[in-house]
Amino acid sequence: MTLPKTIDLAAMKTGGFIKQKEKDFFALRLRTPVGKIDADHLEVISKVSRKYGDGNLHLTVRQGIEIQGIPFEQLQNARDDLEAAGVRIGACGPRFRVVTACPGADICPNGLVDSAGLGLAADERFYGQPEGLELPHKFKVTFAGCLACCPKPQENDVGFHGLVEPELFADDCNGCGVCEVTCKEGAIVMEDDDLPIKDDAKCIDCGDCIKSCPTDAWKVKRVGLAAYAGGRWGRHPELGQKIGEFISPDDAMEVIADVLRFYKEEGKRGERLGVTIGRVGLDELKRRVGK
Amino acid sequence: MTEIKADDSLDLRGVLCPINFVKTKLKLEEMDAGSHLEVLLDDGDPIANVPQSVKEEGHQIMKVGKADGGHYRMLIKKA
Repeated sequence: MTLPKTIDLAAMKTGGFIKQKEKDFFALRLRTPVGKIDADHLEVISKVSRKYGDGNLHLTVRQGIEIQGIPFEQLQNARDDLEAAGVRIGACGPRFRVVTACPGADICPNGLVDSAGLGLAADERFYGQPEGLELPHKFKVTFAGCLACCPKPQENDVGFHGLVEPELFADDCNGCGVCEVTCKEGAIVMEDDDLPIKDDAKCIDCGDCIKSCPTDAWKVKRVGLAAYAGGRWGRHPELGQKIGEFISPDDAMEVIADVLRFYKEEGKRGERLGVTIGRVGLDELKRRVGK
Repeated sequence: MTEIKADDSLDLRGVLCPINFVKTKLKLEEMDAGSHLEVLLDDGDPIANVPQSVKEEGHQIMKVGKADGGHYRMLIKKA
């Protein structure tokens, strides 16, 4: 196969091909939402790397895999082998990116919500779909299962973390005081009658008291997600600002849809969401989310 | 309520997470179902984490109380 005279690099990025420094060599980016990878797929990826690439794989900071060192003329063959085995190809450029997440409540003892499941649902709905294409710039989304925020929701264009509001059932409390010790926010104080009192102004809804309570006197009042918008890294880092609390899993998908619509309508070409929010205003974004 | 007498005890003062929980778990495995184990835990991470882990293992925490020197005494009933 002979090389075409010109290579449309911009078009190739939509196919997950990333030009390497060495002439005519590319890295192939894979679509591995929430960093969850089937072990059989990993074997296929390994074979493709040995057959077409240079035997090296790069683990990206967004839980992805890139197969490095593929010569241009082998790109289509590599892609065909991967897709035949069910391994999907990722993308770069100004569009909704592969969603990241922590393992979430099914795996992690700290997890409050099924962040991985939510990440997969968001990926299915927006990735490569009209709502997530033709954006001003890249658009990154992540889901964290709890307030530890391991996948860094405040650094994403839209990020979520789990929340749980505790409620005391005094009849079940034996006054042991474990919750007072456990609460890192100093929001729980044991009163003279050996009952804990919660200061709602200090409580951040992490749920540590619920998990630590030996008698299950602290119970779940409600579970949901906090949402942040406009975060980014790069040369001018900025943390996302909170746009909602105790959002249901279904509504979280609508929050993403609403923010994407706002970004398409208001964003200028080449500008990240945080810059758009800075220009148009956070209140205006909030007004157009969840309506 | 009559005071429950512990069948065995573990002094976990100065033992870090998660070794304190692992030691508790191993001790409980040697004991009979329904018997009681008393453990002495440090303030901070140990008292925040060990009761939670013991609870998740299905055992019952009968009592937690402050002991002298800023430590905690926890009584566990083996499941």
